[in-house]
This record gives sequence, C-alpha cells and structure tokens, in this order.
Amino acid sequence: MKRLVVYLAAPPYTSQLAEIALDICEKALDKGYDVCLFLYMDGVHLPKRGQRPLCLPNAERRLSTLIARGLRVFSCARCAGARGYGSSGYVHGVEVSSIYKLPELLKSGAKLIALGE
Amino acid sequence: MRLLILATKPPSRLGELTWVLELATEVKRSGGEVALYLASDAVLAARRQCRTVKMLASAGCEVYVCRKDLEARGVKESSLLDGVRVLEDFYLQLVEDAVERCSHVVSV
Repeated sequence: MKRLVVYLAAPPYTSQLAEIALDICEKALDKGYDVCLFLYMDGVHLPKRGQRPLCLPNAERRLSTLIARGLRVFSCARCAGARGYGSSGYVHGVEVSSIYKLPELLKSGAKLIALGE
Repeated sequence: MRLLILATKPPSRLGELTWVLELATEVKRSGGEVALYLASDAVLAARRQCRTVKMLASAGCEVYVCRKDLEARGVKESSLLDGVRVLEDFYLQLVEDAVERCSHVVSV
C-alpha cells in the first residue's frame, strides 16, 4: 500500500495549517493510502482531549473521526512532554513516540508533506 | 522528475523564498515538471501582480489554486494570472499528484 506521511509543526486554531493537514489526511484516506500524521513542536496540541472552540471547526473531533478511519497519529515525546502531554491527555489512538519514528515511517518510498516551521 | 511545491504563506513571505524559484527553474531547465499548489494565504500570490508565481507560470510550471481559500479571501478568478487552474477538490488532486506522480514534495 502506498504511504503518505504528513508532518505538522503548527497548532490548531492559530493558522490554517492544522486544518490543511487534516484535509490532506482525509483525502489520502479516501484514496486508500496508508496515512500517517507526525506531530512535532506546537503540532502536538492537535490531539488534546476536551477541545471546545466556540466558532471554529473542532479539530479534536475531526482528528478522532480520521483515526477511526485508519489514520495513524504519532506525537513527538519530547515536544509533548514539554507541553505537559502524555498519552492520557490525548484522544484515543495517538502514539507518543520519538522523532526517530519519522525516518522509519519514510522508509520504502513514502511521500512526505511538511507543514509548519 | 516531477517536483510538487505546496505554498501556504502570503505573497509577502513567498518573496523571501527565492530558492524555490531557483529550484523550480532548474527542474524545468533539466526537462522536469513542476506543479505549484497554492493554499491558504498563498492563493493571493496567484493574482496578476505577484511576480514570483508569474515567473514560475511563464517558465512552464503548472499552477493550481484552492477555490475554497480563494473565495474565503474574496479574490475573483478574473484577477488571476493566465493559465492558473482553480480546483474544487484541491486536496484530492494534491494528494494524488504527491503520491502517484511526484518524485519530490516541498512545502513553503
């Protein structure tokens, strides 16, 4: 199966980047690809449980829907720990892992789309 | 070789990224293809007055724009550079292009 890895280093509700990452993941799942989302730096805020945005689409809910469809989500352990997250603060299905997971995911010709600085 | 560039920054910041222009020009010069996808604030760069995208388009690069982001910013299609294609299902085409056809993907 062809794999697409999306790297996100930007938080939700600040710029459009998290929304774009989820749009890309959704379409890639529609295509039947193996889709992985790697969260780094402030991107690790995305899977936080209990988000209640007043007038923006709920990123947590959308992420959970995509995880249920097969999206695999990895959050950098150092970035997550620095911001007070462990697996318990996240929605179900998110793996807290090392940055070394990223090159592992990119083995065997996977494509990478990176979002955020 | 087919290079895909996904741009999300506004034109004021795209101007700093001359290396993208150089990279794309080099790929075209060596017989490759370049597809530029403009989303978020980068859709503003598809307007006629933006020099960076104009140079890429005139060098033969394909330029695609996200319709939803264009409309959200009140930009009329008639104000866009010639040859720019506005896509309804922007992310579906982007994903297909990145996974099925492109050898390299760059985000700016």
